[in-house]
Amino acid sequence: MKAPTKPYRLYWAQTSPNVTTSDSVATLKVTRKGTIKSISFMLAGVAGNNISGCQQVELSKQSSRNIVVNDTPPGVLAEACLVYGVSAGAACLTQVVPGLDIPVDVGDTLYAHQVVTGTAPASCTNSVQVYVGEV
Amino acid sequence: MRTTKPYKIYFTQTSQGDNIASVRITRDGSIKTIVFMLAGVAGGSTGSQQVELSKQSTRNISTNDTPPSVIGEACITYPVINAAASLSLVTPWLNIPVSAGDNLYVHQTINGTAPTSSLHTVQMYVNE
Repeated sequence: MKAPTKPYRLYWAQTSPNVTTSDSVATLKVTRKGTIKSISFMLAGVAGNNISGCQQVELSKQSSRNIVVNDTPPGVLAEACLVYGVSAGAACLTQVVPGLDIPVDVGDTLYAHQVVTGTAPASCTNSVQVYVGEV
Repeated sequence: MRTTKPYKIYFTQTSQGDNIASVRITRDGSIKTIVFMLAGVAGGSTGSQQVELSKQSTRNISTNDTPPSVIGEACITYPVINAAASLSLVTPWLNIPVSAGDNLYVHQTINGTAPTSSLHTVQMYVNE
């Protein structure tokens, strides 16, 4: 049988004033050896009282963020950005990155990091799904 | 075993230019997927920002029938004054060969009113 794909999910929800720039807003531990085949970001939230807010989310093998860094180490896996362009309005983003073969091992920890710029949202509910083809 | 190595180009420049940021490929392979993640805050309501990923150190953004070293492009517009805007573009299922030592550059063209700020990422996933 073809090796199965195991979905992992990082989820975090925050409300004001806790939607802030932070390392390791959520983590998960890989339980079986394999390769990441796809990564899916599902970011959503409600803007604060301004139209300039933005939330960058990074998926990484590293425990600290490299979101505003060029030419990052390969432990930085993927990134997505959600903007809040309507004051007090809901916003969302879905982004899929397919066709990957990023090796992971048992015990590896995957981290989500976050940077908030401009006016922070009033609330957010974010998921990152990681699909691992097991060997 | 085949492995995918992620590379990231990050830049915040809001003006037009060649080679705004670059990365150097460290191992031979082929680019399988490119992700543009562009975001910023508008200055006026007529601004747009075109971003090109290329093996060439100068841009071909407004050129037809470009050489194959021009790899990918994305455009973000800023139609609401002072408001944040974003764009995500994923281009999968590629097979663009790269060699150790190759440089990948991003170039940028601004049309209309420039944004007051921008934060852009281009990720390249290279199978080694």
